[in-house]
Amino acid sequence: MRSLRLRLFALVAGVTMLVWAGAAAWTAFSTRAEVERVLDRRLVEAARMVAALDVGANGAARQPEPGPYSRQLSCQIWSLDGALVGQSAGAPGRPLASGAQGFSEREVGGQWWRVYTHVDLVRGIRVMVGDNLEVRRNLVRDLMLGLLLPAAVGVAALALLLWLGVRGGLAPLARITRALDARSPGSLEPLAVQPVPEELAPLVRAMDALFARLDRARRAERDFVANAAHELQTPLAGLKTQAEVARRATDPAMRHNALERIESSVDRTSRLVRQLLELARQEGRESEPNPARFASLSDAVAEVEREYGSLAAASARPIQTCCARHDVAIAIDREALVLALGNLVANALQHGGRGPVRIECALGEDFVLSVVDGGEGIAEEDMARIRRRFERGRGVTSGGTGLGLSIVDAAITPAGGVLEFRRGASGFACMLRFPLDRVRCG
Amino acid sequence: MRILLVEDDEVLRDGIVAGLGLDGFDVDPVATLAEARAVATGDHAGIVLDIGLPDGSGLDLLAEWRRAGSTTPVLLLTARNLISDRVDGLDRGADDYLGKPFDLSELAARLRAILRRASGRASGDLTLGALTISEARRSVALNGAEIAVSRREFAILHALAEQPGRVLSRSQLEDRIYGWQEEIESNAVEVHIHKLRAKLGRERIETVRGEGYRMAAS
Repeated sequence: MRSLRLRLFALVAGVTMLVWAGAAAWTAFSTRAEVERVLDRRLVEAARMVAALDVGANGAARQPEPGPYSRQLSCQIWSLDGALVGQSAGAPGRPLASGAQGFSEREVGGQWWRVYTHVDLVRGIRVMVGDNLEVRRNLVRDLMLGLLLPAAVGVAALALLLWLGVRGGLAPLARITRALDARSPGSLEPLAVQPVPEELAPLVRAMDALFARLDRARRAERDFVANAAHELQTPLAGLKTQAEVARRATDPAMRHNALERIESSVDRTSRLVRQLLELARQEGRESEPNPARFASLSDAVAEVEREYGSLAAASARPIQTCCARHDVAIAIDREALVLALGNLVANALQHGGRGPVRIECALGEDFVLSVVDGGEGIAEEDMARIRRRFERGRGVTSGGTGLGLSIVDAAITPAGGVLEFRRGASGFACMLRFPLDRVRCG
Repeated sequence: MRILLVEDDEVLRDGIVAGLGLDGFDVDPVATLAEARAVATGDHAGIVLDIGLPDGSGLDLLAEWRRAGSTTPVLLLTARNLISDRVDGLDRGADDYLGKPFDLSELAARLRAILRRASGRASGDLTLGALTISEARRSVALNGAEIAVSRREFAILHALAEQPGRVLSRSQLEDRIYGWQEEIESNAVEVHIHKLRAKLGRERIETVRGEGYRMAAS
């Protein structure tokens, strides 16, 4: 059944009807039995009463005036030898019963009679008192109908009240349904339904929480797409402008310069797009369950060294790994670890002043993996905003996409990692801090 | 006409300098708010200002300038093409607005338009008697016949024709035709005036001794 209300109503109404019908049947049955018993009792009383009258077996047959009950009750008085001594008015002439003492039923003159025969041996008479069975059945039927009619009206009234009751009881559900129906398909507002019954409160809470989560996710996604689009506008504007210059320039040197700019701008834009994709992939990871696999640290460091070796060599700044813990493994996706470490190394190579870039690690309260360079690092006033997407350090006008640290953050957060910065005597350190329960040694 | 350009993206900056150069503008490029502040804005006929800069918002700089009483026309550039940004920019005193990416010719046309309006004219053509100067095509016509002029000759003629009768000094004219990086030849203005007189007739440009030059109010 599709409607909860209908289902509930059918259930309650069905059970009620069943009990009702049972009770009614019982009442009818016992009433009928009781009526039969009472009427039989009356027959016996009447027969004895008649027998007690002063009637002799050879007395003249008396024909009393017909009474009001003559149609129902008939009385015959027979002598023991079979002569009719007397009878009530309208009583049939033939004997109503065979003559034995007690109850019997017989058809006389096309009608069924229930008869009580009283044999009085002292007086030599046999008194037969009969009840017209048809009249008796009519009586019982009328009685039953009298009982059933109010019952039927009661059933209808009960059904109506049950229906109203069920509807009233389910009204909060209907309110929530209406509230859901009234929402526009894209709406993620919380359900503004009050009051909520306690049975439905967890449902409404769960839905509101889901709406809120979806809303946050959708907003983040929209912001991300909007930011990405805005970030792409500037390099695209540069490309378009340079292309126009190349088309209109009459001076070959000018055209050559414009084409060169276009080339480098395409490289930069494609790096931006690649980083956007990386960021999207890392952020998508957030919803995945924690990786059961462990990534070997020395493995990841070796890969980062390989990847950025040529860039380091080109800028004459070696990557030095000063990490004694070769046996450490971290519960993080290997690709994510390489990505995070690689982005920090690339940052250090690009903005980290001069001198080597060091990868260090320390096992204490937490496991800390740091990338240290000899540069200025991030200015104090930039610390708060630098992790946000598309935020570059103050005064940085070239190169960076403003996504590197966002990628690092997104890559390590699912594994419980935290990105921190520290300025020390040896330079500026970007640290990846992992809780010890995420780290395995040996 | 000298324009100040404030844009942090190197490729775009370089492209605008080259592109507006092709349209007859002299562009002085800077990359940050700090550099822009350091530049005296009075020298420039107009400013092209990017909103998103590494050391702050171009809108703040614009508001600063306007508070300081500068009336130099400003055209805003921005990657965030939101109505609220546009409204905010215009309300803070910008004269026009262009979203990235844009067409260089549109940028040039809008610049010409706001510079024209700043000098109190509505039409893109200047007419002085038989002489017609078209800004968009950078062409000069005398009695309907087109006359070839160089970029700098056009700039000087345009400067003088904007307000006929007003005297412009040699250094004012030099400011109109040279950017920062360019070497100014000592008698360049005289040479250009001489050539213009040869093409348009001596009486069109008058010399005011000791002060400079002016356009004859025909």
